[in-house]
Amino acid sequence: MTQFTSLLPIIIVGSGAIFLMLLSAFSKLTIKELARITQTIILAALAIILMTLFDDSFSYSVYPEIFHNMLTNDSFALLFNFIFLLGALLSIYIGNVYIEKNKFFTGETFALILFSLFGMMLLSMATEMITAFISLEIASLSIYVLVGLNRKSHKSSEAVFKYLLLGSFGGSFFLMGAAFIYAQTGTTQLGEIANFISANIEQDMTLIIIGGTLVMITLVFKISAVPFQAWTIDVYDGASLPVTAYMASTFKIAIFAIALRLFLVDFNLIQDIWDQLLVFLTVITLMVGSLLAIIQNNIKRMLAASSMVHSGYLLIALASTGISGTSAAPSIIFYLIAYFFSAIGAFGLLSYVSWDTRRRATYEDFKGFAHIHPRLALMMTIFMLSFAGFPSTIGFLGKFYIFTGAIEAGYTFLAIIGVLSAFISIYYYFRLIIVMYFYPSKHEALVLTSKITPTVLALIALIILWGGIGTGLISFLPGANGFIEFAQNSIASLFITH
Amino acid sequence: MTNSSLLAFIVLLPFASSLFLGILYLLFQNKIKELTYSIFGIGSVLTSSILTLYIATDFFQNENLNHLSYVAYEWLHIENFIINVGFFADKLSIVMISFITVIGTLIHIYAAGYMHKDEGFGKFFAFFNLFMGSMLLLVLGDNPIMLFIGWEGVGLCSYLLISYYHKDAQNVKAGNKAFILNRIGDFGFLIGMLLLFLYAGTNGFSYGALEANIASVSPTVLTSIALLLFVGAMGKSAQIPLYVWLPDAMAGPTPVSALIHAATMVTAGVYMVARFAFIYNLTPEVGIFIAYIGAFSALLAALIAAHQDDIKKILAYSTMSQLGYMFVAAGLGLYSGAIFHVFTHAFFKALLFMGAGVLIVAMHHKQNIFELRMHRSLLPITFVTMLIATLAISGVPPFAGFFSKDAIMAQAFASGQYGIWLITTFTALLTAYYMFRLFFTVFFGNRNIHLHEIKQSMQLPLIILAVGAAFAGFLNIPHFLGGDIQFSHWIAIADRAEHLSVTTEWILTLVNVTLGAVGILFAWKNFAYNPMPSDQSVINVVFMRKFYVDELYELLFVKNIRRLSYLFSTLIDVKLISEFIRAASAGYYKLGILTGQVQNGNVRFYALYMTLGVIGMSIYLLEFVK
Amino acid sequence: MIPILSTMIFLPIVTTMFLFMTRSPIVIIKYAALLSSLIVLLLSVKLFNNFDATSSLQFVEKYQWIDKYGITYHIGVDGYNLMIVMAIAILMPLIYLTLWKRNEKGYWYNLLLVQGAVMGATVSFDLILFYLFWETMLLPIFFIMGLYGYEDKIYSTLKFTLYTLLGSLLMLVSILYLAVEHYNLTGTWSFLLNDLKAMPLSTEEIFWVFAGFIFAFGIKIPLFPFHTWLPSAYATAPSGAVVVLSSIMAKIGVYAIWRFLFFLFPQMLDSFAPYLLAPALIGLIYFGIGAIMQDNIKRMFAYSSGSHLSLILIGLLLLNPYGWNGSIYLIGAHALSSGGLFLMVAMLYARTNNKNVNELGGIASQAPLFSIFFVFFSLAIVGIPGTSGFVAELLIILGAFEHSMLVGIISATTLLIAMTFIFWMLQRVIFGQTQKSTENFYDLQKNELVALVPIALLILIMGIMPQPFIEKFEPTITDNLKSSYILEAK
Repeated sequence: MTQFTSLLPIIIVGSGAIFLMLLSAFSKLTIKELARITQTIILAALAIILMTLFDDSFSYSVYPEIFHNMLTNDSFALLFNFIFLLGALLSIYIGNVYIEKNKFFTGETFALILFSLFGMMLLSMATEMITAFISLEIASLSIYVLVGLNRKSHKSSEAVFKYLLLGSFGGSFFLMGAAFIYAQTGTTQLGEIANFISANIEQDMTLIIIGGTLVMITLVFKISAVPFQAWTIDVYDGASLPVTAYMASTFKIAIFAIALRLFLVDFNLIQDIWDQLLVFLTVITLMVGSLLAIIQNNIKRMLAASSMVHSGYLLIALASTGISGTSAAPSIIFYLIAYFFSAIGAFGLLSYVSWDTRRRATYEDFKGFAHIHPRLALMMTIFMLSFAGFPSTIGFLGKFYIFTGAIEAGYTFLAIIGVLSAFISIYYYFRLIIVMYFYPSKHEALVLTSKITPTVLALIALIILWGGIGTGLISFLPGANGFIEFAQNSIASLFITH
Repeated sequence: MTNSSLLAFIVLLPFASSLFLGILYLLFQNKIKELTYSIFGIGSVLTSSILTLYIATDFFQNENLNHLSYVAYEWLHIENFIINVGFFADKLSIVMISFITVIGTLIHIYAAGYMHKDEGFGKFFAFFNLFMGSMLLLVLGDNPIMLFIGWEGVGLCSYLLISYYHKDAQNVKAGNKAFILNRIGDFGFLIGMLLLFLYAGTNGFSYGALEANIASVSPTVLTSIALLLFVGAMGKSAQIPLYVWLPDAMAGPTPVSALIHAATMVTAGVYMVARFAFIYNLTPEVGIFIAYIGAFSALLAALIAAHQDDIKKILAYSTMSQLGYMFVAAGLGLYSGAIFHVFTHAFFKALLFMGAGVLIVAMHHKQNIFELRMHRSLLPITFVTMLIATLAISGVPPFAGFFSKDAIMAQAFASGQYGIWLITTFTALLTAYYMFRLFFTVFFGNRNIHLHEIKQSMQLPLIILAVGAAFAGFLNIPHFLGGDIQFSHWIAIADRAEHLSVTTEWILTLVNVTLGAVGILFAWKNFAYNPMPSDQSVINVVFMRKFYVDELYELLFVKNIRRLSYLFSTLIDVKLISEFIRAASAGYYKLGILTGQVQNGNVRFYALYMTLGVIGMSIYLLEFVK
Repeated sequence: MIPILSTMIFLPIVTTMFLFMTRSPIVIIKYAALLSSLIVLLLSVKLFNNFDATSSLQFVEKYQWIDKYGITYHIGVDGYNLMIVMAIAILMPLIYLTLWKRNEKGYWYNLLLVQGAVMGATVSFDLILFYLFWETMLLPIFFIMGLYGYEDKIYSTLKFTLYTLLGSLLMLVSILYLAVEHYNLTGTWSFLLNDLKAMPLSTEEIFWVFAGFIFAFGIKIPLFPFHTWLPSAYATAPSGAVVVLSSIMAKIGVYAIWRFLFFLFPQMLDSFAPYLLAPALIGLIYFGIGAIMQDNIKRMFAYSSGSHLSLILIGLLLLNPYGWNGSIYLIGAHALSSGGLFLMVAMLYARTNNKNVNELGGIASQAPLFSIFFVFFSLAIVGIPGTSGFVAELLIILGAFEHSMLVGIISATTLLIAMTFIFWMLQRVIFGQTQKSTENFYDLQKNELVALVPIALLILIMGIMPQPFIEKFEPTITDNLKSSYILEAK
């Protein structure tokens, strides 16, 4: 893969964003057509990535003479970019009805989506802290706006305000951290930092440690770990469903891109300093997350709260990396993939059945859903089972993977806590299944126009199942094995030095 | 021996026809004739009895044949727990099965008449045959397990037949009671049996192998085994304290009472003790215990019987009383005597019950002796036959009961158990009294009563049995009467018979006979003309209510078990554990609500505790950096 | 040569998917279900005949599955699970027959699914594979209970689900722990039972791992005191689910203790056995007595099967040939008798719409056939000689006495306790005067008869000549016990 083609996806997305902005300003295209265009842009980018997605792990700096090692293209970045693009694509496909029916979706919306994509893709490739920060901010800002799309909705505007405020508050720590690290190492290049640390490991690392911690604050804020979770529920709830689907499935993942680069590679040697801290964060995140999740009556809010719990699982893995384990790091990637599919499916389905923004918000509204929409209910069930980590779904393998990693790293008690919160999660996920199936229906069947959406959802459901039980026997369908391989490759590529 | 396989057929036939009848009944109910049912029902038993007698003749003809055995197939084989479905007949079992099958046949014939026009005619015979099969298995099985299977089988059949008239819950209750008390006995029996295997069964579990190994078992273990096995007998043969089911068992049709609760099943306990003679001979102290249980049961039953008005209840108690005698004999080591009494008792007791059955049918299903009162000439056959039976049970010479009972009391005296002798002798007096109380009350009434007609098939068996009741005794004439206890010699069980001088024997006998006479006269005086039910004086009431034993058991066991059950399933499970879990989850939810407060939507508050988080992390950091 | 076991597992599942996809009408579904289960039955008969008593693991199928983690698709049959495989294969078609009148598609789908799942759980020899089936067999029951249950179905469904899932999640940790230990030891990932066997763990580690497993199995069985989900679940669940729960799943719970705990930690066997024996003995009596005062017939049988499962458990904790063979035989015997009885309870409820024992009665005079079978199965439960139950209980009690006097006596009480409530129940349900609820009680229908007769016959045959069945598994079981466990223990 040449230097250029490795940049091409980003270029396409970036330019596409600008193009759409202008287009929507000057032309009379309908939302449908705009969506179509966006999709084609994304598909183009995806196609390019797909060319090299299946290669063994590789890594090289992009145009070092231009970017000076600010950007690296490796299997890791590739996989992440793939997920981002897929996420965006699916959100648009699934949300198409919603998007058409709700007037507040305009051309800019798609521009913003592409901008945020641009930011995230850049972030996943960034190997220089300032670049990382900038791309992070690009992504965040466009997401802020996306959250606030629906100007008429009071809830939505409140959400965006909170998000903006707290987000920028949390984001600022990153810059500060970068400054601290620069102060000691004299560089913001990731590789350099690593070298510096390994070179003078005996010396006092105070500044780096402080810097690292500050960076960590931003990261845990973005993945809404307790006590930085405050914004999550309100924002998820405030945003319109397709947006929620999009940000829930992609943005959290993007954060892990940089987090892994930093803490897995560069801070590898001093990582154990943060162990207790991470463990502590993990535990409270899991506990508080579960507690917040069980009390929600609104599905959207429940999923938001439960996303904290999933961050908790990821933190388990993060805490277990480095030490002795070989599973912990890839397990993060795998879990992200698993979570990605479940989330996009669940939120997508929500947006599909509640395009007129009022219906199907709470558990109440879903009573007897299965009796009027058996197939959709089945899909929702699969998504819920996957969230809950029920065997024969990809969600189970995700947890399997993470707990294995934890035990391998000697954090058996973390695994047990994880299992216990998984147990509690059974309650709030199965509660939805129960209301869908075990109650008589109150509503009459919805008129669900779109043909595409259910197909896409069904596809996701199948992927989830196949990801759970898929075997290596059928080579052309990755299945569980394939996903694990992706995860391991991409992690491996992080450690390729050049 | 070619015909040893016949043993299998003797057992199999009743089972087979039972199964066949059962299916027949389920398919057609009453759409086919009673005759068909009767043919198979009676035919099978008749065939077995013929086969039995055929085999019996073998035993008579050649002296040196002392047992037959036939193994059908291997039932179970794990380690050295090897159980065959095998049949074993020595002279003891031959005696048992011959009277079981013969009397069984007669009672079947009788039943064909008695159950006439009963909606469950076919079902009845299916059960009846099933019982015969189990009983024969019990006797012919060649190892304790087979015996136990038969043992439980007869118990089951007795349950089914007692609760035969199932529309009335009371009868079903009686059936349950019978089964449960039997099972309590079986509980002991099973334990004893398994211990027997574990301690003496190392090379085989057949009687032969056990007998060979028994010496190696330590006395204490052997004692407990002997006792536990006897617990089974207590249940099955209605001895203190497990006897309470027998009187209620009379709820069943009268042929059932005759066959199961008089002639055969209830004597299984005695057979079992005789069968395990090789154990009980090594544990004489257990024998004494058994003898005392027997004696007291005999006395108690007699006392109660003397105050009952229901004809079948009286007979039931008399059965229990006679069983007591048998256990006295068995306990004191006179097994042959016990078996002989079983043998004679089978005749006259079956006869009495069937007679009673006739009366009950004739008098339109009354059972109170004072209501049954009629003139003897109305039912001449019944009158004569029942007279013979009554004389026999009262031990009047030369009827069967005289010889068998006398021998037992003699043994008691001879083996120095004077207490037992006294009790049994006194019981003999009572026996004569209450039996003739029944007899006189019933047959000395006035003549003008309309009777329900009686089928011939109900009369005929009475006569045959009467012959037995009259002359069976001569099979075992004691020495002092010039006989040579042939029966006891022939059956060849390891008795521990004691011997008395001829004079003593004469004295004892005379005492018995006179006491018997006294009893009869006493009964004549009170009941021959204008008989009166015993008045309601306290003592009588106590007798009539059977010493309130039922009520006692109810209070002691039944109530407490139910309380316990309520405690477990309702208080602990539901009120305690489930409620606790409910409360715990509710508490967790409340905690959630509490935590929910952090999501109060106030952004300043959010920012605040984010900052707190930051501060916290910084503190953590400081801890490290230094 | 077809992969016989895999077919037995997946045929029902595939059938379901096909039916669901093609939106088949209920009639087709019924026949398809029956047909597929009959095919499975045929296969199982073939399997039983070709089963070689002398060699241990047979009909093995072994494929790489998720090879990155050494997760293998490894299934097979040996002396331990043969009985359960047969029980599943025999019972399921009969369940379909008796439920023939049910017209809810979901009911049939879920029954088919659960059939596949339980079969899978029974024959898997890879811990993750087992875990997968173990979990998934819960789902169909969850749906059947929730969709077609009675009274406060949702509460008890949720309760049941949470209970069982809590158990299995803790088991998952144990499994993972073992696998990781194995990895640290050998450097390769594997979840194969054979690989994880007898690992050099500290006693403390083993204790915790063991605890994780016991939670899962103990709740499923249920082992005292993990049983409080049981009565409510049985009371509210529709009959199909109840039969599966008591006749099959509970058995798998016991079997799993054998297959996994005893196999994984032979060295700790007789140090752990006593701690399980105690609750099992308590359970035997506790459930038995608890059953006596139950007026709800389904609750009563819930306790009853709890009591019998405790007995099965006792049998295997005795660690002697009699106990082991006895309880394996009881697994089969009780599956049949309880299966038959629960099916009949279902019919009873379908006819009377009444579960209260005191409001039933007089059935004997209304429906002789029904009563005969009902009484027969009740007697089979009690273990009357001539039924398969007797043989099994005899062996277990014998083993108990060989183990120790006290255990022997306590186990023997099962003779008394079971009988007490069964006969009291019969007295009130079958006999006595006809009541309002049983006024127009119709007798057995053809399909019901066809379903019940085979069970009854099998119970009789297994009771009258048990040896042919026992010698199928006895050799391997006894050898196993002697070779691996007793020796290592001593």
